[in-house]
Amino acid sequence: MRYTFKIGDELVKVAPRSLADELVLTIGDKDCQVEFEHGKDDRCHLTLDGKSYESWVARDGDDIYLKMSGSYFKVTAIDPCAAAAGASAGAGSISAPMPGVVVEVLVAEGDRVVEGDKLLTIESMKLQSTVRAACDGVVGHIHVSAGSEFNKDDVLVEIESDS
Amino acid sequence: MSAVRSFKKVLVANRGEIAMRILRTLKDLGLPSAVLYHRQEIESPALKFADEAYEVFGDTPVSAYLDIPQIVGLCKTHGVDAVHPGYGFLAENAGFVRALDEAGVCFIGPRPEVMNLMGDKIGSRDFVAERGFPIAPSVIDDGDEDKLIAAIVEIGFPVLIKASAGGGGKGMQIVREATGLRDIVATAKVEAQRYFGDPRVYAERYIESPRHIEVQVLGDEHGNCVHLWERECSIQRRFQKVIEETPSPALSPELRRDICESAVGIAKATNYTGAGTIEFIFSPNGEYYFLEMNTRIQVEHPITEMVTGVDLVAEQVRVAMGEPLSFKQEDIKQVGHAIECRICAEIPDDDFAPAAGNVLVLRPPVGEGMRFDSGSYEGQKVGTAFDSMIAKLIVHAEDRDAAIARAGEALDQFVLLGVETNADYLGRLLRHPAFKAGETNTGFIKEHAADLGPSLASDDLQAAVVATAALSDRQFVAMMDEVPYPYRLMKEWRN
Amino acid sequence: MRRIQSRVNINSPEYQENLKANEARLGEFHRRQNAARHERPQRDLDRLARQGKMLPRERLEMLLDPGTPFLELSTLAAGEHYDGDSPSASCITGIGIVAGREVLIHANDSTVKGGAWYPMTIKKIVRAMDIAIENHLPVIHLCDSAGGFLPLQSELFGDKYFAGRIFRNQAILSKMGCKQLSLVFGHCTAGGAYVPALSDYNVIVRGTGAVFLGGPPLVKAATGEEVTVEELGGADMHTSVSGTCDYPADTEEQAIAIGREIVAQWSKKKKWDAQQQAPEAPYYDPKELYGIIPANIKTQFDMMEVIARVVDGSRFHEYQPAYGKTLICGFAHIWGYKVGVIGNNGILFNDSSKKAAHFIQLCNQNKTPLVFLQNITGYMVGREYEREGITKDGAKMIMVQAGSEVPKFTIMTNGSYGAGNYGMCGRAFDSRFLFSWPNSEISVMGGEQAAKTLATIKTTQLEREGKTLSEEERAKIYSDVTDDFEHQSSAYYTSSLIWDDGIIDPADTRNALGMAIATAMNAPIEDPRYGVLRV
Repeated sequence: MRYTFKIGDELVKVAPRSLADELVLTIGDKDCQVEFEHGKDDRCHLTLDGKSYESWVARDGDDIYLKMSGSYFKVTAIDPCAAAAGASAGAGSISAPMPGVVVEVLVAEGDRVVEGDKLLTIESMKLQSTVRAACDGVVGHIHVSAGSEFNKDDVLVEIESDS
Repeated sequence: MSAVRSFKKVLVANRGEIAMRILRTLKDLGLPSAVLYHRQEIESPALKFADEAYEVFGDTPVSAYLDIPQIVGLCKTHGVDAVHPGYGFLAENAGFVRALDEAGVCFIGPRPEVMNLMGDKIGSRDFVAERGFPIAPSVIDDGDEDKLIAAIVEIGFPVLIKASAGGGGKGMQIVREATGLRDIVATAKVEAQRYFGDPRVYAERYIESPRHIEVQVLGDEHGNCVHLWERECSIQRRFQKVIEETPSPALSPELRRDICESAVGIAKATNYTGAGTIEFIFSPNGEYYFLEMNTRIQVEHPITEMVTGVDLVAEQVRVAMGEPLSFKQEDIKQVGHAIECRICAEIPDDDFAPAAGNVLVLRPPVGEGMRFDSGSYEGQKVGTAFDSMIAKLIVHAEDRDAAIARAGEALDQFVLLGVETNADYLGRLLRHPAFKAGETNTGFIKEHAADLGPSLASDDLQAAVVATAALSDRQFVAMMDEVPYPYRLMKEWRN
Repeated sequence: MRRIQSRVNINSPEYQENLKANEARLGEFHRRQNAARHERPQRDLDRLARQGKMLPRERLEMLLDPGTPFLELSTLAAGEHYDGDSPSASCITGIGIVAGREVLIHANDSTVKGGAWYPMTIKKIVRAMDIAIENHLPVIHLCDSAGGFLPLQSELFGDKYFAGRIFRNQAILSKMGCKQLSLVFGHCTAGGAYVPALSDYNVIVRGTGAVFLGGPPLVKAATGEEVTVEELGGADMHTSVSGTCDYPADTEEQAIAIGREIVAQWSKKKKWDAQQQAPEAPYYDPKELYGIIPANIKTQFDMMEVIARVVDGSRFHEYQPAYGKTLICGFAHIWGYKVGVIGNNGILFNDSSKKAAHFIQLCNQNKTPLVFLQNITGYMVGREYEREGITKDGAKMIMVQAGSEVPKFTIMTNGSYGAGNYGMCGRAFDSRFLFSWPNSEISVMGGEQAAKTLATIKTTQLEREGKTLSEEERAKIYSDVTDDFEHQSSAYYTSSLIWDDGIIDPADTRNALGMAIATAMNAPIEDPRYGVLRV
């Protein structure tokens, strides 16, 4: 699998072609012979097809910041799995994960919420837990109020998703 | 020493680069120092640099620095007897000065009355005009349309017409000739009525492609007042200065003397004490008009320090102690040329949108004639809580060309990684032929936007950047490192 | 170790003649291989594009670590069967590197009849999974198959090595601790549904991926229930309700990325600590093999010249250089791995058979893998040799070879006839990998000899039925029989039957063996023990 890096608005795929004695990388659609050295103090030395490039490099998560040839660049490594991590948890309506009782309703109909916002506190099996928004959107109908009892899979709150 | 007062402990009621700047002088003067900090800035170097540091609390970090009772309380608790406000926050807040007065704490800056007078846009204009200093010709509609038209014609064209009740923006227009003026005024009045419920209009001489030129002044309690020459701050974006320089390439020696003397005159008229700046708008034909006065130390004060050799903060402290100025006007020479570049966490190519991130690598430029004022540090989280300015890069050289070249070298040397900044953009500004030729005005950035865009990296350079990034990316490197022998030697063999 | 001194003269007419013949053979080989891999009816390619699916080989390339090799197995399987309707037996199998780990990959080829399993498909998959079992390899299944090819169900369903064996092998692999991952790109119906279900991990693509025992039409027929593909076995149902699948993915690319991340979680087992040194390319150019392999299969050639173009640095330590000279034995390195090489340089005699038996024991004692280079017309026949015990000596060789604990690798370089095939570790003798060169032939006896025998039987039979045959008819029978026999002994035919793990370009032999040996080192090598030797 080739890795994708974002530079400006451009997506560039990069992959090693040779890991043998000489390192060859395919950058976009070009094969480049590469030598690379991570020096001291965040300085790097790169030789690409015989040309030398000195740079300063720092990494912050997926973002790689560079200063090379007098200019700054921000390159972002695209995680090919990222978008799949969150399953499309039935955006729209949020149903009860188990039978229980509503302790508190934390939002009102019409409230704007972002994914992860707290919607309700519920209690089941002597354990209180928080029901959170699964997507960004606006709170639609709230089917329960404090003290309501509900069964597994009962719809508790509806969220009108942005997407 | 002829100090009236002596300070036992001086609090810098500020943060960031200006806190560091002031603390440095306090150290030089041998004065015990203290600084404020918000929880977010616990790792700021100012905390270590000051003798003491006091935490301030607030709903937002900014509100903490604006909390007068809290700050005055800290002064009392810790025996602070003088406060330097820096710029921004409470630097021009007369209420703060009075609260300090009541607590018996000296405010290092002008008296509150002067602050109030000069802090008021209209009031200060009238004050300046009454004393015979130039302000842009203008007229306010008193209902008599014929009189208004005549007055506008007298102001001369181009002229800016707007609703007197409104601010900028709506209903504002520039008129370039007398033909059709009556219709335009009539329309403007209708619009003014519609938008602001007041049909009166206001007209002012419109200066095209003006420069922003300001003069640094210093006054003491003994009636002395001097200027420390001008600064040109025409390179602006969104009304914020980006590059400042001194001397201004636009001024002849005569004009320079003239504008500086006007500034001293204005300051003297207010009995100004401490450091202040008189800002002028300077037209291409050599006219200049009073714009406003800033009653504080300015962000761009270091370029004045570079060409005059005067430590402005030290002078502020001495004046606050009641000392007379240690020099006369004729002692202050303008030597060489200085330029300041403001390094901000922003994305110039995205309409200067603020950028956030973590300062991962910070390497100040080091060399002759280079100065780097910053409160930043590696590990700093740069968010939108405070101003986007991270650092100031100041250079000094024998003349303007040399200073521009030195600024370029300093930018080259300077490294800040982890937050997007305008550093590249500053380089493009400095290299722009119009800037090099001294052809600047406050519209420079808009006018030359097309040439100031990001220079496309060559394919080779882009490949080098991507290669370096990939080979610095943990996942990518791990993928390569994980490939076992002998497979890594077989390359992409397929049978 | 000394470098072999090659005696090949690349300017000789003989070399040039061979070169010409072999270049023609290679052209034909590459043409067939390319067709099997890539040539598909446009409508099948269009259908995949419409479904938003990648081609099986695109999936494969995306799955592999870039910059690493892939050893494809049995590309020409089923090539001579089903009128060519099942190119490559409708699936891809091979060994590659994913997230730095050696894995066996099995991919359904949905460009052929929706990836339906032909009998040969099953044979190829079962063989691939046997390779995983023998070499302790994890397996990645790229699932996109319509299930068994119904018109041929009697040839693929009930027998020991038929479809059930795939699932049996999955279970055995799991029991052995060899991880399995399924990436479900398309439908996995009926038996096919067990491939992801029997995997330790699986990822399913939303919209196109589905897993069920019976698809909607079958359900409707069986119970009258009307149900959509998504409800019945779609990604969200299986990953959130049934737990049959583990990870949903929005796209095939994402499924592959998740799959790679899963493989990265697997422990890297320590390999067998084989005798190894830094690899060294052969001193002699492997492409010179094209001038060495004879144009005519009956022409003898020096196997030492082949060894010089396969082993590291062309360096070879020959064992018993003066004894039993029709069989070369000795030590060499391939991609750094120490191996024992056994190559034919003529008929197997008593001395060469005994030499082989002895050398195989030495290698087992030393835990050195064995490489067999076959070019064998058989064991010597005749009174003198029987009196000397040629059958007994051949049996010794077969006994220790079959009883070997070290991994064995076989290359069919030219001819492989009769019992020579057995002694030199033919398919029946469990070589971990067996590859054929395009020129090679396998048959129970030499081609001409066999054809003559068969033709004689046929003419005698016809004459017995009262037919009188003209000289032309005799010649026709003879040539028909010869053609059939030649065809059936050709590498294309035997590889179509999966008697090997694929035909390889002779110049690729070192790489193929290198990957095979490195792979084999995932399984431990047991201490030697043998059956009873007739001494």
